[in-house]
Amino acid sequence: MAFTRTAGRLGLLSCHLCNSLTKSAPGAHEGRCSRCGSHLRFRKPDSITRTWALLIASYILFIPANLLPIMHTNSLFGAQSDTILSGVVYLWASGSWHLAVIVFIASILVPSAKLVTLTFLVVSVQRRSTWDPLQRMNMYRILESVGRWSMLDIFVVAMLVALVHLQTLATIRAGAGAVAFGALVVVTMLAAMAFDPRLIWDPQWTRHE
Amino acid sequence: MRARSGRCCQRPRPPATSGSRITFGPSSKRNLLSRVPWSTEPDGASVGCGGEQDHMVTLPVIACHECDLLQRKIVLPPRGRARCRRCRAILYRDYPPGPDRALACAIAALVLFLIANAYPIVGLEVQGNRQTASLYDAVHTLWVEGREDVALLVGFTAMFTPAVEISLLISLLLPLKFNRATEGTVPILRFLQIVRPWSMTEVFLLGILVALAKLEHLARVEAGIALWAFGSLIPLLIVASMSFDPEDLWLNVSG
Repeated sequence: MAFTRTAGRLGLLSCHLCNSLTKSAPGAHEGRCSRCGSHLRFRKPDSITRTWALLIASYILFIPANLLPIMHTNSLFGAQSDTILSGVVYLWASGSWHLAVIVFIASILVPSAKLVTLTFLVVSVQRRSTWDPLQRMNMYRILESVGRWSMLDIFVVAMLVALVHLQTLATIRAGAGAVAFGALVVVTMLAAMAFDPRLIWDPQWTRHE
Repeated sequence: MRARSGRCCQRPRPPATSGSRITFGPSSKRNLLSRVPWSTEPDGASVGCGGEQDHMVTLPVIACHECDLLQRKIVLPPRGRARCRRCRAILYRDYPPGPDRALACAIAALVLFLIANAYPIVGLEVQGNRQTASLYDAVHTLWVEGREDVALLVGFTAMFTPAVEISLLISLLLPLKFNRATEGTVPILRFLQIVRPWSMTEVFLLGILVALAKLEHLARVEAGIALWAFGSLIPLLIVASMSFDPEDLWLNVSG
């Protein structure tokens, strides 16, 4: 197969910043871009190990993020604590089902799907799987572009806290769940960044060897 | 490599492609030629396939940044996009000439960003009491109430990184506009690449809308000027970062 010639295989370092190619010194694993001087490596350093570490941290954070309340409401009708899920249920029950769907997708579906997909990708890369790389590549692209939207609930809480502050009707405070959830979003984004999608394609050329 | 709309020799742009030329010595040349199915390049340069006397072969080659596949650059039709033929990533585009549009959008985005931060985003009216909240109020209230970590996260992703992103874009495009070579281009680009994923204005906007809809049951809510500013800032920022050719920057750096 002609189109399995990659830059890495020919000893060329491709620059992530300016897209130019630099020939590496023989046997070297890294180098400097001849055009912009960026520090270059053939693949992201320790991609699999780092992704695993951040993934495991995300799995741990996932538990408090979903169990702890992200918001405390004090109103004339009494005090109430909302977790992410109960917030969605409340929205659904109060008739705004479209909002419930948006929040459910952004806060529950996206983070959990992201964790599962990224785990699958890392395992498949570790096993040097050759199963449909384009499909896996698209998975990675989706999870990378969609991850940031999980921050939605944090922003909702921030706006609610600012607006319903020192009101006679009610006060809203952010709960500990918001901290865990924010950390979850950040750590999963870092995990996706640590993963090098080129590893999905690397076993392809050895197969045609 | 495929151009989006078929034809590939319409508009020769020799300066833009020259940036990614690499040179192979005689030892690696045969290696490459036997493996990569090179075609003759549209703008006239061709691959020498003569004897061992050819010492250098200059090829505009590019590696896909997502799957590392080596492929030749081609000249794109106007507004065309070149995609990687293996993983379909967009490798490069044909841009409208000059950084004018990008710079205009970036400056407009800066003005809107200042408005978005200076004015209240939403107002809330309960029993005659009127309360407004700006982005700063949101961060400040979280901080005062002891959620410093959440306050930092919101301030970082909705306030700090968008501000940095816009100012970096402007400082990148201004020298480009006046054809000045600057020392700063490389660090600015590097910083921009780091900052960009954390700038979440569009997510913040959706967050505001959800918060508004949640409060609608409780009180009368009204949209402030900053909400509209945020709304129009997002498309401007996208256009600004999409409508200049990064290759032009490198011409400035090396020239």
